[in-house]
Amino acid sequence: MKKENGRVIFETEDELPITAVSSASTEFNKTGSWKYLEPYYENLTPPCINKCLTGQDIVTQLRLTEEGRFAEAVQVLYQANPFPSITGRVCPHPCEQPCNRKAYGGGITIRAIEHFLGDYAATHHVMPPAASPNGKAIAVIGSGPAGLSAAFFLSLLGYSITVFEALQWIGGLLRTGIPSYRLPKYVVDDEVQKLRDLGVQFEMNKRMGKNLHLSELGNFSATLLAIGRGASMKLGLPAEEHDDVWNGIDLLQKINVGEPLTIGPKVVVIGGGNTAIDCARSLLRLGCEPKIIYRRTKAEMPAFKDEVKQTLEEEIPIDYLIAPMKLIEENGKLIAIECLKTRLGEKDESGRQRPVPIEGSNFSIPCDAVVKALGEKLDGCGLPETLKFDREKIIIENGYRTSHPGIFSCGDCANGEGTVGDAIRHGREASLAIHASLLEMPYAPSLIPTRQGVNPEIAKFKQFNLAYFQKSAPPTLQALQPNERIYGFQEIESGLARNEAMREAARCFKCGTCTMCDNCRVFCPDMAIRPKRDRHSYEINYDYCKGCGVCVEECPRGAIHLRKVDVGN
Amino acid sequence: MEQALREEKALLLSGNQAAAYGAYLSRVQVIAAYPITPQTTIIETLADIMTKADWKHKFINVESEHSAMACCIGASMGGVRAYTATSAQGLALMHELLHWASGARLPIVLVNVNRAMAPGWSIWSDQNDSLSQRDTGWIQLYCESPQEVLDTVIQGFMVAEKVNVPVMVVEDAFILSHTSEVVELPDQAVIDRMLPPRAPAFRLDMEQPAAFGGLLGPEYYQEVRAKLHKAMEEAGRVLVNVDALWQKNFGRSYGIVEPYRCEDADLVLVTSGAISSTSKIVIDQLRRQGRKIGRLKIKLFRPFPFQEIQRLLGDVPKVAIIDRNCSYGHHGIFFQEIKSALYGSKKGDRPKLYGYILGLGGRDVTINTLRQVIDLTSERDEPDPETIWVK
Repeated sequence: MKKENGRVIFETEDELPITAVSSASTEFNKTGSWKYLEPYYENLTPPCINKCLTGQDIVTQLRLTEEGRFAEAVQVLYQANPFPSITGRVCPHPCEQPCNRKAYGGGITIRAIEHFLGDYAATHHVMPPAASPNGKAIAVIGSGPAGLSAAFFLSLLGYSITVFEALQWIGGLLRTGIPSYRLPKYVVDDEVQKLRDLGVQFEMNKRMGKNLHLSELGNFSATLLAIGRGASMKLGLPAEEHDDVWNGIDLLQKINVGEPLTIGPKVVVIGGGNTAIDCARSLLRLGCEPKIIYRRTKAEMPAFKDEVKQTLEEEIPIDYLIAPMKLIEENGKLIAIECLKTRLGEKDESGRQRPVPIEGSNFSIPCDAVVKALGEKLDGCGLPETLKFDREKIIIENGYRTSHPGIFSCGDCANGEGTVGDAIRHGREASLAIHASLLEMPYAPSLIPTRQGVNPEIAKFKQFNLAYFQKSAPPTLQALQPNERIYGFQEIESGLARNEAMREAARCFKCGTCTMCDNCRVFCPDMAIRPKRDRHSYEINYDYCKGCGVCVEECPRGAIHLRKVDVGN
Repeated sequence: MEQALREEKALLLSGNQAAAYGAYLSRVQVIAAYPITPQTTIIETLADIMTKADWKHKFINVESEHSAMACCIGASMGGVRAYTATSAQGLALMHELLHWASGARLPIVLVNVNRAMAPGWSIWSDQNDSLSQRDTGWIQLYCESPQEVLDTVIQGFMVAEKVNVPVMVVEDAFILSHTSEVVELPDQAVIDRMLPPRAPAFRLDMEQPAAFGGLLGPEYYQEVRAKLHKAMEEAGRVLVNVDALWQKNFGRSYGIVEPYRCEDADLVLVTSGAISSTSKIVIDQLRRQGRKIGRLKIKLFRPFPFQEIQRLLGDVPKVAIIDRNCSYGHHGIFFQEIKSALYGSKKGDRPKLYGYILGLGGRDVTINTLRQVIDLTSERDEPDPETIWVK
């Protein structure tokens, strides 16, 4: 018997044991060379993250929430979204729509968890890590979600921020546009306070072109215009300036800041967007009898589906395929609106069918007031002449730069799509763009900064091993019933309790994302898998991995994959 | 209680109860078994003994016979004495691991209660289940009585642990498994002397890590397997010695084959299992009529007792071989084996071999059946080319 390169060589039959038994190491035998397939770890993109308006790492938030590590979950949130208590209430949560859990008991209520985390952050004063000041100052014009988001991220980059607001209230549409039953004002107050705690300065009653001029901003290294869209679209009808004809956003502002108001009782709200819905529901709560008319059908309404559903629950009539033609006055008072019925015609550039009025279908709706909620556009008054803008938007190029040197713009006034989530993401991206510009570096937009090295491929339900998950339903979200909520502005949804949030986060598949569950290591028949030293990922010893694929099969969430090995000839 | 049970001299036991008492007296340490008719009362008796006796052992509940054998293999590799019992489909399910147990040279003892293979479903006796496992490298011992079952289980461990080859002890369904006779229990102290605690040549041991059953390349495989074959041959000699020791200590023995009134016989009936007892009555009847008929019982099927067969049958003019089994497309399996043992055994005339298949699926084999076999053999000068199926 002799040894050669770690192998035992038997020289006679007598030396052979009676069965295959070896006390020598088998490490010389690199059984991994047999494989034609090999596993590898690569996180896929969960469908929720792909759809998130602000670009949050939702899965990591839920992993931390599941373990009760709420403050850490909030810190992950802060990397993309400073205001979870706001988005947790008003975001249309497109993240929930493609949730893989829908096929196995019901989708994860991601927004409700965000609502919980946002409230946790507010009540526990969870603050992002403080930055050391870099000595530079930046002016942010407008205190809506885009401006506040930019103020937050620029602060974290070390800038000293002053936010200029045209009105006497901070928050833009968060304050003056969204009704309290969706977004209580104390929530906005708390988020503004968070910015003040970060050192952000606010100057109210400063309107561009009126009492705020570019020349006053010379001490700032850069200026960010985030003024939103302040101008309402017009009906284009005579008597549109009548006292009983309201702009939707003006009406909402009065209601939201609590100014005295005389309107109604019968009010016709024209439009199919969120402003129309907010106006009608607010008016209902003030004792009016609102009615919404819309020139297309329910399918084309741009308002959030959940909001339309709640509106119908509150028994507010929505009449479709109606176009206003004429405002009818009597003795100086509005008494009716004359309308034409419409039908849907050719598709327009938005892809929706254009409403075509039907000749001779005139009819009148008696009313005491009309609210125009036809959409908003940029209010270009007071903007510097050097700034290029078309009728609806400030023109920006890559890196959020306007045509005016040193002035950047983001949010609804520039490239926004009308949601709070978009505005927050644009605020963050614009901050990075300004920072890059001041460092004289090229701006490279990175939508999801925390998900480096993740395959953009969306993780699919069929990739999961359901043996590791129980079919279970989402929690019932507590909400006021229609008859409980229409007499006031009390918030409708009350959010999840701590244990509910943890349980719901635990239900999440963590699609395509390694959670270090250890299944692969436990199942590997060749003991070829071990955690890396940082314990955040695994490594495979390919010398002994035979490519059996057991780890791939036993990964509950599709984070391990097989690829062919080039075995040559 | 334990003391009392171990001091029993004799009990009324069925073949299955005897199989359980054999395991108990062998001080088996691990039992893994899955119930199957007609084996079930072995498990029940084991359970019964466990409640009465202070017996240091583990009974592992399993979900199949495959797992039962896997557990026995694991236990045996761990160095302890392992035992199981099964029948028919259960034995067939173990097949892969039967090879493993012998290839790994593990001295496991298995009691197989001979039951016909399905389909059609049958719970009754024939030998096709155990004989189908002929080439798995297991020693096979066919028993004739509950007493022999008990003794053979213990002897089985003695042989198995000597040569490191597993042993299958076989008894007939119902005819033995469920009928009782007075069975003498060998003295535990003597058994303990004859069958001391197992001292394995190698075993799973955390202190001495080793790889078992790993890859064995073409350069060694054949030689290692030849060792199994040699151990098998050795087993026959060991069993002869064990049986002699048994005779000395307990006054009874079985032999690896048992001739009965064969001395001057011109016709010898070859039997195995419980038919062997029935055949003795037939032989006695015919001898009284002056006919020179003998009987040879084959107990040891693997390793096959070539020399004894040649010695005892080589000069007999006619041999009638009874097979309670069939190798479809060939003959009865004992017939084939005896034929191959006699081929080239001596110069000149060889015995004429008459093959009979009978008693499949538990059909009763009576004195008349056996007389029919002898008559069919006597009246023919030459054997039929085909095996005769006797009703």
